[in-house]
Amino acid sequence: MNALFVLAAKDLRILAREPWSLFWVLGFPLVLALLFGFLYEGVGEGPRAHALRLAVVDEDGSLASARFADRLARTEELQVERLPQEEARERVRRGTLSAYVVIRRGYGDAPGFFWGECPPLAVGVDPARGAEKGFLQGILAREALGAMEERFADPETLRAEIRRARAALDLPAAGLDPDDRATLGRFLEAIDRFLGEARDHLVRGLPWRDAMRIESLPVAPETAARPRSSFEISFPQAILWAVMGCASFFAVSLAVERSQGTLLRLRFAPLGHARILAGKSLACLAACAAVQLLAVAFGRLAFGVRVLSLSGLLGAVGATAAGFTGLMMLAAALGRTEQVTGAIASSVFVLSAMIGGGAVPLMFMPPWLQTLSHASPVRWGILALEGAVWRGFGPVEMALPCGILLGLGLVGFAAGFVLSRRLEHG
Amino acid sequence: MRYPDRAMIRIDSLRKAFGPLTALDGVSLEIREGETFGLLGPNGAGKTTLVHCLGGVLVPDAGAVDIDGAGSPDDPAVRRRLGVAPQMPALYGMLTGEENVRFFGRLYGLSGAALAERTREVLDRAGLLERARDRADAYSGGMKRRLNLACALVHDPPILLLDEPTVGVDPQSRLRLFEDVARLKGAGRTVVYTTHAMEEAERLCDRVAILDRGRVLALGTPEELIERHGGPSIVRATLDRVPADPSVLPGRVSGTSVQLETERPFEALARLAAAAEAAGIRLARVRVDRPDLEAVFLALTGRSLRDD
Repeated sequence: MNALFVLAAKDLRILAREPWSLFWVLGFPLVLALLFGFLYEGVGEGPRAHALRLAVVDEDGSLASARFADRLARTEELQVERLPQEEARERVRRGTLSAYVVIRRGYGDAPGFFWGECPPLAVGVDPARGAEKGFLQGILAREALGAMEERFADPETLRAEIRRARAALDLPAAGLDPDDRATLGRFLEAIDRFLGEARDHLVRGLPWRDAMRIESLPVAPETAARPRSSFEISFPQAILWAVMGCASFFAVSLAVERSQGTLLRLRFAPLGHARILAGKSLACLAACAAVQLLAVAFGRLAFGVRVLSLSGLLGAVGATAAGFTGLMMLAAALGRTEQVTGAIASSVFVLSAMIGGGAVPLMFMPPWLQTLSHASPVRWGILALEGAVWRGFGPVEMALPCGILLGLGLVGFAAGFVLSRRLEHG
Repeated sequence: MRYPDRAMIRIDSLRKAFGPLTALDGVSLEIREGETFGLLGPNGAGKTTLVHCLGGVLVPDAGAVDIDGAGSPDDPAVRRRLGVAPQMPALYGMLTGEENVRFFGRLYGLSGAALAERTREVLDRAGLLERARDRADAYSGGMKRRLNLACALVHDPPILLLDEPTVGVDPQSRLRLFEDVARLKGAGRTVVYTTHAMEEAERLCDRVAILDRGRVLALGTPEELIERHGGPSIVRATLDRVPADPSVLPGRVSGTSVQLETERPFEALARLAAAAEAAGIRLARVRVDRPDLEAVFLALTGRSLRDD
């Protein structure tokens, strides 16, 4: 056992003395964590972070149109700017806004609730955001109903509107034939009478209120369901890059030992082949675990990255370290020279990162790539770390990613050991 | 206590092939306690393969190796008795000289004061004490060779395997290595020394096995080998004038040059000197070329040791 620690300590000392290797293992992943963190800025920073950016053009300038614009501005799903129409259209064309809504002249006077056309609204949507057009129309419909509710919530306001509508019935602009005018007149009179006699609570329960109610269902406890900041997403990603950097370093270092003769010298020593490789693996495991914990500690201190489960974190760190140590062994055994080993490790790890969410988060990937990502150890490493950091995974949920990583580590070590033994013993 | 005739290493009918290439073809040897044993042969003769089999890093296809009566070097415990200085200095360049020695010492079970003492001792003997805290990659080629040897000696092994320790070494470091080997011999260590330099084998080794193409061609002390296989010595003399009658002189006479091939060069030289004096001729210059291990190898294989 002592020899294992002697071998591992030697490798860690060498790692500590190679500034460029240290940079790749520690510095580069931290740079990535910051870059990704700023790139995903807004993710997890409240519902407004992903809001649709929208301009409102108020052509009507009435009290009703101003109230409607205010309603839109208060809507969670929208980030609203009030702009002149030309500027709004230009901003949408350039892609800095998703859409613009024009409240047409006459909105405040439209009697369309009782007859004729509805209050006019026009929507211009960035052609590149076709899917968001329907989303926006839904929001506008909901808010229009809400505006109507506001307008008619007070019985006196509603009666004034009715009286105004009755007066408008007789205007030539109403364009109604005498029978329709008489029917609508009787209808409006009946409502006016009802509003005069009914008590408030009855009026406020009229059906235009809450014509449709949609409740949001929680997916997970509020504190754990979503990352609190973009850095809670970027740090697990960056940590996987750090782990891959470590694994690459140790894979190449084994190849260097082979080419420079120190591996041969170790084999002359009273150590079995398995012990020599176990020593290298122990160093890799320790380094992988240390960089993960350091990165999490840095993320916590500098960017408030949470750790919802310390035991989960330790499990994730250990499993990720073990998984990539196994892969390190395999890469070191497949390459005879340090150049080939480096190339194998780099290509395998970079590919794993690309498909496993190490470069682009899985949520932004097409479905087929998300399916393919199951083959990447990076996916499971990130999932395990996220499980401990912000997803609030319990032991059962942690078991899948950690189990896959541990299995991968065992298979990698075994395959690497067999191949390496064959290589060394001719 | 030393037992001069006790075999420290027994090699019995060792065979090792790498695909179609036979590196060792039935090598059998006994290396005695306290002797410096040379494995002499050209590149590719099988010397390094034999050292690797002795060190347990290669498993022979057939045959057996026994180290100090303890068994096969496949057993890690048996390998504790060996100190190996590989052909290429095998060191960690990012570690200091001292750290390299301590690292290998720890692998052989040394620790604490014993490790510190041995580290200091071997570094001192290697002349590296003052540079002990410098990183090994800052050492010269000769210093690396000496550190390579120091790492092999740190656990004070009874048997040393030195694989071509002077390749690429400057004359000064080479001389120092010769002194180191002589000192090890003086301390009763058994040394297996591989080389393709016949002068090193002649100078350092008690016995020499000449290897070629995986086979032992000859075995004995350098003197025995030369006597058996080296052929005659050559006495060359230059006369102060052309003799009137060359037949009065022994050997082949051509102008003022005389050349004699003989098993007994000093007796032949005395005869030549007497004949010349009788003829009134003086020997202006004399040279005696004795056969060496190079000649032995040439006689045994028809090739030079330095042929590739």
